[in-house]
Amino acid sequence: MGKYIIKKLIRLIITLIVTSFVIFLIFELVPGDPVLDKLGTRATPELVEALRIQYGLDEPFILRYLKFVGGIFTLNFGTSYTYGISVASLLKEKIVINFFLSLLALFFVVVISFPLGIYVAKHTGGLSDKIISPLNQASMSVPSFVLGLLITFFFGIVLRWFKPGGYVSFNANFGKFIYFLIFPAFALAIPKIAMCIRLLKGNILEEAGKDYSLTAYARGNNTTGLLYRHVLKNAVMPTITFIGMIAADMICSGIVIEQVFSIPGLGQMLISSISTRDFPVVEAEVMMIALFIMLISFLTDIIHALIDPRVRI
Amino acid sequence: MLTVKDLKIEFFDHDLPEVAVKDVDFTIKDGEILGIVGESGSGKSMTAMAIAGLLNRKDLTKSGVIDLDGVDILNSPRSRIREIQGNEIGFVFQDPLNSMNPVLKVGAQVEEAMRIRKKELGLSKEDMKKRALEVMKSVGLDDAERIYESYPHQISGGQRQRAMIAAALVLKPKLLICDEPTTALDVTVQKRIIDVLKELNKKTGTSILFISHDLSVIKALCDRVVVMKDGLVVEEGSVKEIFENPSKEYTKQLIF
Repeated sequence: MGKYIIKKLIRLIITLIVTSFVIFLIFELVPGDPVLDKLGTRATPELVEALRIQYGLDEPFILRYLKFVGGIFTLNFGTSYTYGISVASLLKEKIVINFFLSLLALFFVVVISFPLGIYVAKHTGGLSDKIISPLNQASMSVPSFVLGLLITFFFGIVLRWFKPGGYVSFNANFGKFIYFLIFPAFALAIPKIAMCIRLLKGNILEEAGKDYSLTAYARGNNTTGLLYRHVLKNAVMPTITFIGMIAADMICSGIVIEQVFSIPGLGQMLISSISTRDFPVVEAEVMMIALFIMLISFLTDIIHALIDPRVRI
Repeated sequence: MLTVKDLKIEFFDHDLPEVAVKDVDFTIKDGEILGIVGESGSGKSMTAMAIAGLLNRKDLTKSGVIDLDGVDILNSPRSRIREIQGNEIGFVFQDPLNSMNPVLKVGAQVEEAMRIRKKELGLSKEDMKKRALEVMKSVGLDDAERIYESYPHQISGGQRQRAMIAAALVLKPKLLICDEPTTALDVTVQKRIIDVLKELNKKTGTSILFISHDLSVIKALCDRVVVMKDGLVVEEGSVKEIFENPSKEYTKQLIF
């Protein structure tokens, strides 16, 4: 197991290096010059040259890349071209928001879809199955931002459980910050919950039909014993892999959801910094998103290995 | 000890009844090894599953009598059947790799029949492990301690099937049903598994119902044999009779 974790860690670091290089290269190649963008019609050759030196753009590509990589480890991504302040201070709060939003949504996916998936699988064809299956189908086909609007209307305006647009900074009140994020996180989670329930149910039924399940019955297991002793460990693995994959999607859908709930998260910043060619900000944002996704997939790999001995090689 | 009478199993394919097994009669006496031989689709596995109480699909109907020392297998409640499964009837399946749960240690699977009845039997963890190792050694797993801690993919096919036999025998059942237990194994391993079963029968007097399509295996192991074809019993008799003097054309075809 220790060996496996080290192997995965090495792979994580390699992926990180490759990803950072690709991200840096892309913004090097993308059309548009931040210096000219900033100066606009005031641009004179002298001013352009001066700003280039100020931004460090006169240095060779490799040197700037190495500085960028160094910045990842020290969380120093340079200075924003647009705002003139350090990228780290600009993004710190926004990254925390998206991090908590995604984690909260993932948490809902796990705590809701696992028990429901197991319950529905156990009572296939029963009343709960007949109610949950079409409900699932419906929630899978509605995008998160529409659910966000519905949630805002129902819980925000009709029931007044939260104040629409009333985001509270985590510095001000952490409890209220989390409470506010519950609603957008739910909007993010609902389609994924539906998918996970369906996946888990399918996998449980599939595993219950395998030979080892018949063996388990032949030893005197009842359905509950079969489910918890045998089937579940095998059946959760595709769902865990899937949850690792949706972590990536959570970030992207989160960017839209932020708008619906007026949360000052990464999304708005990402869009504006791309259009102003504020490359230090864009690079830092993309790198952080990539890092988050890589960490989640690293975690799912570890969980996978804990459950399935065949993976631990 | 086991009496099967007029066993009939039907399943419904698009609402049309189809007969899988019909008019099957045979008995197994204490300490006897009975073979059922037939090609695939002859209903031999269905019969074995019905005896072990494993045919619970809703699209199947079963009639007739399966009596195991006074217990009516076909009509007893499921909870009663579960008491018998793994306790009085042990079942060994064809493919030892797929019949084992890939994510559980071999030891846990060998112990399972005991663990399910832990309270009734009053067994501690140590008792169970001791018994598991004992039964594993008795079926020729000399390296029982290591295999106990191994996962199924870490041991060989022959070891897996021995472990499965150990798992079926852990509560000393009076009847061991083996459904083509040697088919997925190579010939030398096959022979050793047969020897294990023979020795077990001799030592403990456990009755064995052995299902196979391979007559040579039946000949090497069984006392009596039932020949099945298309869900019907074609012929029944002692191995000697059947092999030396088959009366039915189908049996002759199988032998030669």
